[in-house]
Amino acid sequence: MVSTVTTSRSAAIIAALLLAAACGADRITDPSHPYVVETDARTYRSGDTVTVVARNVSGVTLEVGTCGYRLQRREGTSWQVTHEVPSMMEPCDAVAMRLPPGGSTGRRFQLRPDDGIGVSRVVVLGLDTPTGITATDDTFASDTIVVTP
Amino acid sequence: MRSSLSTNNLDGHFGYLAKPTLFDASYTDPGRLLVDNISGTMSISGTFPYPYQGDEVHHVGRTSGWQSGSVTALCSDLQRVDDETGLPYILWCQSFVTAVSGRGDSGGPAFFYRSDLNAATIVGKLFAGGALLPGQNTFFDGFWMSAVENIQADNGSFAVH
Repeated sequence: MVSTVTTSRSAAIIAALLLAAACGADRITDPSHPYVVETDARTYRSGDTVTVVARNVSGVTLEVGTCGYRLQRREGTSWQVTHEVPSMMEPCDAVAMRLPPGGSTGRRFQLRPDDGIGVSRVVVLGLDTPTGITATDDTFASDTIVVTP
Repeated sequence: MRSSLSTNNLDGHFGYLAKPTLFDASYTDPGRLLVDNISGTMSISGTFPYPYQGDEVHHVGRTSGWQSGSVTALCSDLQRVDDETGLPYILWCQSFVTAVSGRGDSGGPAFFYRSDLNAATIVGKLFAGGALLPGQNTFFDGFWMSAVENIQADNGSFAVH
């Protein structure tokens, strides 16, 4: 029963984020940042579920996968990867979908004990960029989040 | 009929697999997706129930083209989480091949290839990638496949032409 309630709450959060994303569909930002990436909270406890949504603000339809994220923790002035999907034993389905301008794609995952605590961010993986745009992790990264024990 | 190269010649060859003109080309080479409209097919010679460790398995996909590699994991159980419900489930007895694959290749055939006969023996279907290649957001360092025997066990037997 607990898992059912948690699942329903997560589905509602994703729906709310996607709705909010759709409402801002006509806002186009810096061309070198074709996505707006937002998490459902700024602070999480270890073990919490994180929902992150990437919204296409490029103005053109892009191809995206339906899975994949990289969790990074700030260490000094750099970002260190603490967990990444896909991997060999946590693969992503090899599917592609078209994401029109204003459309969103979401990821949801649970923070693990070995992810550690501190300032982190989520990089959404599996997203194409418009032709001519060179992508780095910053291109697909959320704002910083704080993970507490 | 004049031969031409195109990425749009993938329809209309029932009973054959598309055969890109470049085999195992760099996954970033657009030529990997070109198919000759006359010679750009390979015949299907039948099925084999499952691969063995170390077998060379090929696949053809709309993103990575024609690739091949060795089976490095056999009959592995994969723990997954349903994207919609958040509930865990297990994919029993899947096989991993260390060959480049790409987002969009899912559903494509995995097969043994006999170059002397230009023939493919279907051994399964590709459904997932492995880890992303360094600096890549589209291409994986391998792929997971479901073997013919397991597909038939779950869904019933099927004919291959």
